[in-house]
Amino acid sequence: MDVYATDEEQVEAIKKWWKENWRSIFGGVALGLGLVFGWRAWVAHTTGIGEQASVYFEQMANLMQTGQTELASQQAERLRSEFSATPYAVFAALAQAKMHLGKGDAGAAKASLEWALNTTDQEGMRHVIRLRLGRVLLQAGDVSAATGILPATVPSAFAGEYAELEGDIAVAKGEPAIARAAYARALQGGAGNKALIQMKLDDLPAELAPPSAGS
Amino acid sequence: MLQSIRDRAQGWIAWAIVILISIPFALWGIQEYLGGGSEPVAAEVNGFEITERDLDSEVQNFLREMRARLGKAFNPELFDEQKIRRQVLDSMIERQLINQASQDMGLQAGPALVRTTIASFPAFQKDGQFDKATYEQALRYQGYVAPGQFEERVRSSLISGQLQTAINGTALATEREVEQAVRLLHQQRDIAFLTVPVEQYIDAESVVGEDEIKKYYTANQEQFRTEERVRIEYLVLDAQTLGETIEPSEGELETFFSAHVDQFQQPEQRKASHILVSLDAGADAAAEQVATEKIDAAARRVRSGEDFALVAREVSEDPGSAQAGGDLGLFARGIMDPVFEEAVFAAEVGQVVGPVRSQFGLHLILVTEVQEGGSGELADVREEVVKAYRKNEAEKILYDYAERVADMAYEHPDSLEPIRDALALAVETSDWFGRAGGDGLLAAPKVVGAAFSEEVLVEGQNSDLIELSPERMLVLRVLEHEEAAVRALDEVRGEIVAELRLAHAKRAAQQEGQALLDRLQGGETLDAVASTSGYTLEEPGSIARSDRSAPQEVVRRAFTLPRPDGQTEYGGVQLPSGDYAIIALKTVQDGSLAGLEEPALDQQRSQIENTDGRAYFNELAQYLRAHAEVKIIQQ
Repeated sequence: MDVYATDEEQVEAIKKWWKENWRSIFGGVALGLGLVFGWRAWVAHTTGIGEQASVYFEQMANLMQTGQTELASQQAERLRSEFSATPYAVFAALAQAKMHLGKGDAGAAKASLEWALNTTDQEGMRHVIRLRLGRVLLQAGDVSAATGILPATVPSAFAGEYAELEGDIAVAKGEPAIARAAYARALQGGAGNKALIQMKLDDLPAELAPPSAGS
Repeated sequence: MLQSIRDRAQGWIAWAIVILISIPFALWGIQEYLGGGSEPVAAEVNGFEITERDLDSEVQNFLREMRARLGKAFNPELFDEQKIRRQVLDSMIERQLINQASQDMGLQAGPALVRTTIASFPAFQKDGQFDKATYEQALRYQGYVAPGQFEERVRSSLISGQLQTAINGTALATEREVEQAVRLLHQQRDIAFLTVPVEQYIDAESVVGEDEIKKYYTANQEQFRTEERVRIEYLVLDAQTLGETIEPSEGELETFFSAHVDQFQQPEQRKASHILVSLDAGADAAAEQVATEKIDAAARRVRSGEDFALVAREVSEDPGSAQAGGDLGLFARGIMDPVFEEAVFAAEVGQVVGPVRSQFGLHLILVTEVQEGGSGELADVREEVVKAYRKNEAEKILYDYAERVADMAYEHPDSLEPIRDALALAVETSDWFGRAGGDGLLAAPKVVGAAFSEEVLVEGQNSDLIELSPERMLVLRVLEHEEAAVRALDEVRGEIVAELRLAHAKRAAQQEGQALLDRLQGGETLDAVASTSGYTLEEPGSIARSDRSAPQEVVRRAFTLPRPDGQTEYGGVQLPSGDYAIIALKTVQDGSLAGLEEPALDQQRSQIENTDGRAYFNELAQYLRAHAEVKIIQQ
C-alpha cells in the first residue's frame, strides 16, 4: 500500500480512484441487485407453480376417491403436461397407472409407472413404484421384464414385498422350490399381506414340478 | 489523526482484536440462527430437534386420550411411562421423517390451501362459519404464541398428507392378483382323516409320583390362581326405558309439534340445470352487451330444440356444473342466489326460463325435477312426533334424575335403597366378575374401574354416577369381594394327577399317529391303515377354509399341506383334546371368479389395494428411518 504524506493527498487519491472505478462499482451493485431480485422472482415463480399443482393434486385425489374417474384422469393429464417439473406430475402418473389398470389397460399402466420411476428422485418412492411396476408387468404377462425390476440390493424396509414379488415371479415361471423360499422370506421380512402369502405358500406343490394348470 | 489511526491499524494488535471479536460471532451466532438454545432435546432427526417439551406435550395428549377412553379404569400406574414415551417419540420421528421427505420432494401447500383447511376445522367455527376471534382464542388456549406457528404446522401436515395420499390413493390391485386371491380364499380341498383317540392311552390306575405332582404345581402356579373378583348391585338410568311409559296428551303433542315443525317437515326441493355466462355485478355496458348476446344465442339454440345438457357443456361458464350438462342437483330454498332461486321455484318442470341475472352473471335455467315438501299436518307424521316427544321428555327426566341420584348417592354413601325408593327404579345384582369385566353393561371399563376403585371396593361406598353414554348412566356398590389367591396343593392334587396322566397319553397318541403316517408314506393307503388299525375313517369330502364339518385343526392342517400332484399328500396334527388326526389330502379345487358376485370381487380388490397402500407407506417410513440420521438422547 502506498503511503501518503498528507490528508489532502489522500483525499486526492480517493477521488482519482473513484473516477477510474465508479462504473464498475455501479455495474457490480446493479448486477448484484439484479441477481438477488431475479433469484427471488424465480423462487416465487416456481413456488407459485408448485402451489398451483398442489391444489390440482388435491382435487384429483378427491375426484378419484369419489369415483369420478373421467374428471380425475383429465386432472392427472393436466398435472403431467402443465406441471411436469413438479413432484405432483409423478403422483399424477401413479394415479394414471391405477386408472389405466381399472380399465384393464396394463400396457398403459406400465408406461405411466415407468415414467414415474424414471422421473422421481425420491429413493424410497422409487421402491414403491418399482414394486407396483413389477406387479403390473406380471399382469401384462411379461415375466422376464418383471424379473428385471428386482433390484440388486434390496433395502430391508422393502425386503418382504420384494420377496413376495420374487415368489410370484417364480410361480409364473413354474419354479415352486424358488417360490417356496421366496414366500418364506416374505413372511419373515414383514410383507403387508401375511395371510395371503401364507396361502400362496401352502398352495405350492411339494416337489420340483410345474404347477398344475387346473384353476 | 487519520494518519495515526491508520498506522496502528496495520499492527498486529489490531489483527488480534479483530480475531478475538470474530470468535464469539462464529461460535455463538450460529446457534441463535438455528433457533436452538439450551432447551433439552429428546431426539435429533437429520438435524431437526424434537424437544423434550414437545415430547412431553404429545405424551400428555396420548394419556389424556387414554383417560377419556377408559374413564375410571384408567390407571396411570398400569402404563409403563418409559415405554409410552418411546412409542410416542417413535411416532413423532416417523412424522418428522415423512415431513422432511415431503419437503425435499418439493411438495407445497400454498396460503390459499392452508386457509381453506383451517377454515374447515369445526373448532374454529362459529355458527358453521370460520370465525377469526374463535380461531385466535382456540390457538391461545392451545398454547400457540402466534397464528403463524399453527399455520406452519397445518402446512407441514398438509404436505405430509399429500405424500400419504399419493401412495394410498394410487394403490393397485391387478386382475391377476384378485383372481389369485379368490382362487386361494375359495379353494376347496378333498380330504379324509382318521383319529387316534387319546382316551385309550389314559390309565386311571397308573401311579403318579409325589415329586412329579409337586414339580407340576410349582411350575404352573398361574394355572391355579383365582383372580380377584366382585359381585355388585347397581341401578341404571336409561333414557329409553324412562321414555317408554310417557303418553303425551293431544294438547302436549300439538304444542310440541308446532314448536318443532321444521324438524318434521321436508322442505320442497328442486333439481335444476343452468347455463351461465359470467358477468360481474359492476360490469360496464360493453361487457353486458357481449354477455347478453352470448346467453341469447344459447337461449335460441335451446328453445329451438337442442339438448340443454349439450349446449350447457359447450357454452356454460360455470366450472362446477358445465361438464355435468349444467346439472346442479337437488336443492331447497335458501341455498342459491335469491334471484336464481326465485326463477327456479317459479318455473314448471321441463320449462326453460331466463335469462335472469344473479350476482354471478346471466343464467338460463331448466328445472328437471320437483320433490314436494311434507304436508305440514300432524296426523301424517304423528308416530315420529310421539317418538321425538318421548325422547325429549325422557332426556329431561334423565337429567333431573341424574342430579338427584348423584346427590343421594353422596348423601347416603352406604346404600342404594334411598335412591331406589325415591325414584322407583329397580336395583339389579350382578354375578361375580373380575377386572376383565362382567356381562353387558358391566363390561364397560368405566364400570369395572369404579367397582375396583378405592372408595367403592375398600371403603364400601356408592360409586359416582357413571355416564356410559349421554342416554345411559349407572351407579353401583360392591356386595362381595374376593381377593386373588393361589389354590392350595391339596385342593388341586386331583386335577394335577389327571393332567399328568393326560400328558402321558397325548405323547402316546402322537407316537401312534407318527407310526401310522410312516406307513402311509411308505405306500399303504388310508383305507388299509384304517381297517388294520381299527380307527374310524371320516370322509368330509370337499371342504372350504371355513368348514366346520371337521375339527378346526384338521381343516387348518389340510390347507397347509402341499398341493398334491397326482399322488395323495399326508399330514398329522394333534387336537387340543389330545386326539391325533391323520389327514389325507386327495385333490384341490380352486375357487373361481365365475361363481362370485360383483360385490365380493370388489371387496377382494379393495382389500388388496388397502394392503398395498398401507404396507407400502409404512415401509417407506421405515426406509426413510433407515436412511436418516436419527439420534435419540436418553434422559
